[in-house]
Amino acid sequence: MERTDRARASIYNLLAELLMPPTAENWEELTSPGTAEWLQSELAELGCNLPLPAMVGGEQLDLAAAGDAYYHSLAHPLGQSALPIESIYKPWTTDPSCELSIASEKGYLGGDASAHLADIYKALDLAIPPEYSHAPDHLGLELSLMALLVENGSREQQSLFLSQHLDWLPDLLEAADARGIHSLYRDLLVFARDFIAWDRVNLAE
Amino acid sequence: MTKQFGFLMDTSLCVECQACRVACQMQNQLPHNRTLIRFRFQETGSYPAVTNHITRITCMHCQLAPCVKICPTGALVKGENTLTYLAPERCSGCGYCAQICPFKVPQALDNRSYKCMACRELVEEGKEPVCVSTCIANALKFGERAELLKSAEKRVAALQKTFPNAQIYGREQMGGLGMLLILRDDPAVYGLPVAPRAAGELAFWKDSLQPTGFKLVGAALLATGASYAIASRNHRRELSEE
Amino acid sequence: MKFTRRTFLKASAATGALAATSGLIDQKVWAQGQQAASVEMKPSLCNGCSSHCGMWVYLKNGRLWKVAGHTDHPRSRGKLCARAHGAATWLYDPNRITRPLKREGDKFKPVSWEQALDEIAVKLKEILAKDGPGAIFYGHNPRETGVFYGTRFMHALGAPTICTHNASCNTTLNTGWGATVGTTPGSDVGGAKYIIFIGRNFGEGIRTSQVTSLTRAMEKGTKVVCIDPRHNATANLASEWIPIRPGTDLALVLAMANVIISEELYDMAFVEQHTIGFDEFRAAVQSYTPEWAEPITDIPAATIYRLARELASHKPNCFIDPSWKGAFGTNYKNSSQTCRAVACLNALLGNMGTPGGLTFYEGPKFGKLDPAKHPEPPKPTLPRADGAGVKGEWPLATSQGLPHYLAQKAKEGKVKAGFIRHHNPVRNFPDPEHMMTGYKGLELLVVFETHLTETAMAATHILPEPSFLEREEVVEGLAGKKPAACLRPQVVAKIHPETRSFDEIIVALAHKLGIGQYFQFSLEELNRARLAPLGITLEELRQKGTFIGEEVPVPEVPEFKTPSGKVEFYVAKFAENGHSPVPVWEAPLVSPDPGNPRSFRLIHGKQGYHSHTATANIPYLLQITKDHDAERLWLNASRAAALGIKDGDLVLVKSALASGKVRVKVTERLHPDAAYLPSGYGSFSPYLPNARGFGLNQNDFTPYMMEPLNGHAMMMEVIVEVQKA
Ligand code: SF4
Ligand code: SF4
Ligand code: SF4
Repeated sequence: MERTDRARASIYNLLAELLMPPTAENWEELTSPGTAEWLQSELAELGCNLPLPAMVGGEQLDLAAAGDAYYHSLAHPLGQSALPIESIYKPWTTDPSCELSIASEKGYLGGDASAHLADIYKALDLAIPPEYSHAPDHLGLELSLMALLVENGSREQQSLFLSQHLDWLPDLLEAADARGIHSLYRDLLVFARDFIAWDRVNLAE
Repeated sequence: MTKQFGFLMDTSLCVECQACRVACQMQNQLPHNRTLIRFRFQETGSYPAVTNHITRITCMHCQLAPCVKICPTGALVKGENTLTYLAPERCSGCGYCAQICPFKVPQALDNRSYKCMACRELVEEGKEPVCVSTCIANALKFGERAELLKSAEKRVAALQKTFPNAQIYGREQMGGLGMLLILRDDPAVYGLPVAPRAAGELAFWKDSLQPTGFKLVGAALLATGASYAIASRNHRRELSEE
Repeated sequence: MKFTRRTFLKASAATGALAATSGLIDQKVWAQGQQAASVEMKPSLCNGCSSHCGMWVYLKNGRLWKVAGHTDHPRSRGKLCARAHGAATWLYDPNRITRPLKREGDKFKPVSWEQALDEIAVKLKEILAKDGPGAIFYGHNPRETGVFYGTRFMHALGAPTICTHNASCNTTLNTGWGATVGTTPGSDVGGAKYIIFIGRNFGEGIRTSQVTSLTRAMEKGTKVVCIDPRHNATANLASEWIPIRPGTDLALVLAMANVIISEELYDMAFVEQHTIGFDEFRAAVQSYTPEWAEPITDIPAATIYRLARELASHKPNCFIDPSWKGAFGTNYKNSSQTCRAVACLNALLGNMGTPGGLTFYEGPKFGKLDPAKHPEPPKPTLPRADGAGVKGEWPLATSQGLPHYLAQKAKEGKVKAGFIRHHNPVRNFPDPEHMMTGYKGLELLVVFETHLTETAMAATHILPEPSFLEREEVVEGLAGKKPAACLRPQVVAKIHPETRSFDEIIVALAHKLGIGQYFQFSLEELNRARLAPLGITLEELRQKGTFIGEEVPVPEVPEFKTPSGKVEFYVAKFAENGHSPVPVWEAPLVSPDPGNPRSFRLIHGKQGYHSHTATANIPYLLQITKDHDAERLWLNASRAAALGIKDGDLVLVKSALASGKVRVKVTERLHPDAAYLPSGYGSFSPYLPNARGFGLNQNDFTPYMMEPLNGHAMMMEVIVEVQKA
């Protein structure tokens, strides 16, 4: 693998880690100045000059506060937070035979994106944590899969995945702003959105 | 000759439950804020001698359908059974059908027209349209138009005992409607024109058009005609790109 | 790699597979494959309202694809109403409760099942030790799974207080019909020649097959009379609408009985052979002439004479519908007696069990678990905490209980813990503050729900259930000429892994509480045992959904389950408890002030596309309301004109308890005394984002009260002032 691909995969993995619920296992490490330094140098290597998200190496949240912020920003199930799940931001299915009222509606779980990702995991023999069975299209999982595609797949597959699946971050951000999520998570989402946009251009070149 | 099919709505039996609306939204994959079935309610009389007149605002399936004539893309067509079908993927959203329809049925939104699809697939399989099979009050029927007219006549005769003005609407209008209505009072009460005509500024030149062709003739077209031509050209480009 | 990774995707053969399956990542290619898949059908029971209509669920690639009516099911007969399509979308609703929650102040914190169940068990044991099982209650909208597991659980704890929602619905029917004929009968709509609905509204309080048979009957010439202060959706199609002053239906029915008796139009043979107390009843109604009733009911005496004579002339193929909540559900101070009077008037027609009359069918005879292996817990002997059936408290209240009184008992510290399932008393009983303070003050309140309702907001612990399509339930029965057995099998895989069905949770709790010995069987074993005598296996029922049994022969005259075994015009136990043993006139508790042009009685009712507040959060159904401005308050046109209120104007509605603003529908279709509010709106849980704050709810204006006879909530005994906002 090329050095730049290794960098891209690592950044996708870092984002995946940060956009899943924080745990004691790696929270301090993920947000440490060391990680910030490393991320800075990877971005430089890629020639991508995006400002670092404040969560990494900047303002510190302890694990408990981070857990709270995550829950209220991205995981509260009752319409209180911006759930980072692709299906919610896409029409439920493009299959014209569906006679379910929500077929062309946004805002529901279990849409085409969710079914497609579940099928990809199955075909690739990838196991997802059981607590995500309702959302195989969770942002964290999609970023993880993207890292895997960078490591193992073709550039064409990567491009397709970015344009067909990881294209909903602007909508997520809109939802996040409507609900007023924690600024560190908002900032992180902005970074993720911009990095994906950068990578799309990068892959097209 | 092909047989005329149609709907019959007995407005005196409707309980405004909206089951037909939601079932139709499902069948046609419509988001919650788009519907092909709307309602109009009108009270007559005064307390306590009051009648609530209900009618649905849905395509009346005119035999002589101006919308079909004017549709520049061929999205609106007449089926063999004389129902008016709409193919949204061919529709450019120009909105001419909305303007010309004597009943103000089609809605031009989201770059397409929304109107009753007559459940084409179901009907061609010999099944009932979904609003008809859904109606919990037997207010809707579907079948051969001649048969529907017969049963409507019987029902109207019975209704006339209580409602002397009870009548069938749609026998003659627009060459005969595919959506026959049993009314308890004069059409005007329901907001229905007794003698409906193609509406709007487009109406006067419609006869110079072929139903599905693009033969734009004569100077009569003026400004409207020009935008009409653009609408159909845009649309053909979109189709060829696919 | 610079940081420790959790590796969410545990890969094995990824590299090779990616190369081998080139189309896999492309969603367009994938979608084509998906479209080619076939659609399978599985049976279920709708949860859009508590009728549980049979339905077919269509699935494609394991995803919900469509719902349609089940033709065999007696309640749907192939038709579903609007709510069914809306309710199906709950499956994928992102606003569902997905994990156990614990309330800390006004915040809800997710906790593990282990922690939630442990905390509940510890607290409950503490309360049991300190206050005993009398301080615990269970409340629900009674459907089979909740009835079976909830009752067994409570009995195992020795706790007698099991309540339903009915004290805010129709517990008066159990009281009135129960006392008169032993049960609440059904009605043979299809066979009737003449039907009177008093407040019953098939068109908006929908059970689909009832509407279908009503309009079929009408097409054949059945005469249908609608008596209601409001020209409701059934009045749309009825032969006649007779508006009545709200709360005075009792006077009308007494006057009709007076005519039928004094003109000797009643079925004398039936009265002679199958009833007791006729003489007392005759004496009681003697003074209630139509002339007497006219000023009370606002119905001309001549109309009352005509109605009585027309009705009697069709006996016995006619009825006054047994009703639901309508005019003599839990609405007025006189509702229990109104129901009694309706039952007595039907008895005069001799229509008990006749074609086109009232029906007395039974449900299927289900089997039971082997009592040797699975002994039933003894029935608790303690008095109920809500005083229902208890001497000195509410001796005539039914076993459906009094959830609003429990809120009071909680405030007094006499009730400490509650379990509530599929039931929202805080929003659906009058006076939310009373209900909220009472329930929130409980030391332990466990709510089993899919959505965070107003009642869940009061909970100490919320336990998430999967939606109705994701769980198998206890086999249920339907009474009928041919009794039916119906099943709601699990049709899709659980969406949220951390949800658990009610039976699972109860069994887990029982084990923690040391009453596990009563729950040594699985749901499947239970269902097999229930089905054993019926001649259908569980496997077959999972395929068919609905099983129609053999026709059960019924006696020509039903067995009346009353103390005398006959229809009782005279009810001794009413007299024993200080209430009139025969129905006599009693005025409603409050009335609008005739001198005040702003004074109205606030009445409410359902719309055909909502189930109280349970469906208001569903976008498809809420949009219907929005498209028709259907959340408006109805006012009679001449009353509105006197107040300078025009159609669409915003008004202020005010009672002693609350005030709120809403737009008005000015109409000729309403009695001048009434202001009518549709009952499905005014949700205030912040966790129901679409419904919250939309429209007004009648319960905000109505005080906490109890009807003197059976304690119900008297939901229409409220006067409001309406003025331009
Ligand atoms: S009712 Fe309107 S849309 Fe329907 S066929 Fe007639 S013109 Fe066309
Ligand atoms: S389903 Fe039938 S009764 Fe209900 S609104 Fe539609 S036409 Fe009327
Ligand atoms: S009446 Fe409607 S909501 Fe109720 S169970 Fe039947 S279909 Fe469902």
